[in-house]
Amino acid sequence: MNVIEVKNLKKYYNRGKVMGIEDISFNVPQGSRFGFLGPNGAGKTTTVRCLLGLLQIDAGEISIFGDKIDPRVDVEIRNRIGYLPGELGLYKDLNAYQLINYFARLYDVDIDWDFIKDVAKRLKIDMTRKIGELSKGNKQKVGVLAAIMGKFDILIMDEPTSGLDPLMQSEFYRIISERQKESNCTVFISSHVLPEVEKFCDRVAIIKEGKIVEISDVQDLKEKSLKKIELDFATKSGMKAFHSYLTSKFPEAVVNYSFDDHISFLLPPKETRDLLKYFGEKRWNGEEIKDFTIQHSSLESIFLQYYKDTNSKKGEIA
Amino acid sequence: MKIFQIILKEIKDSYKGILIFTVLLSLFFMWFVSFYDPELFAGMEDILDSYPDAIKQLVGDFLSLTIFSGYINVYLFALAWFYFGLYFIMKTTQDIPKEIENKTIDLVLSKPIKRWKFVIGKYFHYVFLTFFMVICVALCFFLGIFIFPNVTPSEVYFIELIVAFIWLFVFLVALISTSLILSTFLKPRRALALGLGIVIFFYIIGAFWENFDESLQGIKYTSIFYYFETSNLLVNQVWDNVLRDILILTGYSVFLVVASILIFNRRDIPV
Repeated sequence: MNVIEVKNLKKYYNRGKVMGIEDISFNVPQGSRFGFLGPNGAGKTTTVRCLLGLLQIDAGEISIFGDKIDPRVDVEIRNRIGYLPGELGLYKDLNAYQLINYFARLYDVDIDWDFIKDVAKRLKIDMTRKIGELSKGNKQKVGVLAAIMGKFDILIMDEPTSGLDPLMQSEFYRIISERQKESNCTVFISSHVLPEVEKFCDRVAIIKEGKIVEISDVQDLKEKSLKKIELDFATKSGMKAFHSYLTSKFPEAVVNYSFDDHISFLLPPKETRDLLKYFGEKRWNGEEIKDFTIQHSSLESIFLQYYKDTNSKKGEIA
Repeated sequence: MKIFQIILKEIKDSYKGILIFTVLLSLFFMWFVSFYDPELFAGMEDILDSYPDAIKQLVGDFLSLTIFSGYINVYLFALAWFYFGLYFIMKTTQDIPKEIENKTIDLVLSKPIKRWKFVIGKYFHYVFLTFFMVICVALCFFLGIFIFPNVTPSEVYFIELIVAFIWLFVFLVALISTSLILSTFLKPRRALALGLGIVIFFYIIGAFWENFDESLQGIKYTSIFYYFETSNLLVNQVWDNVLRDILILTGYSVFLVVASILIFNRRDIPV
């Protein structure tokens, strides 16, 4: 079951003059960890704010838990959603306890104060100190606490680890993972920190200029992405001969650089397997090739490739 | 009750400032009572009577200064918008725009609360504070009447004064409603500038409409100050139009609050 379904979402600002998002469609399965990736201005935050009814959509449909909703009107659904905004604004004159208490009263569900106290302890939040006196990182912790204060079915978090030190980042993901194990909640994370998303999320959508350009399981995305291959030859002439062979036999290959006896290039997965067959036939092994490495693309390099080359086709990314 | 939670939170946030302001204003009103001197004002009558009508209107009805209610009307009720109103205009026009600017509204409106409840919560917090302030000021004012020897309580028209305070409360709520609607769609500075501009414009119309060209005098109906004219009630004890004006001010406030909700419901909360 999909807990979030978004179809052809469109939002323009300034009376239709400035594009926010153009055509956003995606589904988020229940219990998944969904990463929403894109640089500044791509439309991530606009999408999230449309989901929460902070922005009025110009076109498209949003369904939560299978029901088509108008997020601005159907506010009861927010009893099941925890939200952490990207640009966090907290009441400076309240302390964390007062803030959570205030938010708790705006929900129609019971809040587990034991859980809140436990998370506050683990994140080392001083619940009695005024928020205005806290550092950026500590304010972010209070925001995290406010987002996960209830047993929500969906957690929507925009740059959740922004301002947190590495130890707290790990603790944050541990808490979220535990929460998910306990309640099978769905986690929707919008982030720039791609290694984190790669590590935590099982599915990602990449948004570019208001449109989804890729949506896939993280593993599938990595598997179908270009492989980075580096070869060291015994001789310079051996490398040159391979270079000629590569460009004629595999036109999809992208040579990063080559010098002396070394070459680095990118190749789609299928062609990589074909190339390995040639190695198996001892065409360039043994004395010819001294060393070779094949690397999977990281989510970061996949993401960057989408933004580097607007004409990239799906699957031909590094 | 989520509206109540919003009101409660807002009151907790602002009670210190309101208490200080209320105490100062209450003392100010008491001081005005102590300052009343009928003989002094009676001696000024001859001089003041020679002033042109327009000047008289500008500074108030001098002749009525010789009686306590008239004195209070000129110096307290006619200028109440300045004493009370400016404070609430400044607070109300800034409130929602500041929440948007500081991004605190994001977390509130991402909770299961309807937008109209948020606006009503904000609005009623000001209505409550205005009520509290007017009550405190009125109590201190009446206390002053009994404390200071320069005023003879038996000569004071208490019923008219009580109604004038109720009228003042309704008028202040109308000012708050004017500020509220601006706060639902403008940024903090623009809302404040326009709020002050509108109120001063209303005041000029309400105070000087009789000096306008006859064909322009109909403009007086557009000003809420026209519906808060306590001199007839306090000086002459004439009750004509009191209820009508209170109802018009109430209707004006209801209309603006409904419009504020409709505007706020439709607007985007930008990043």
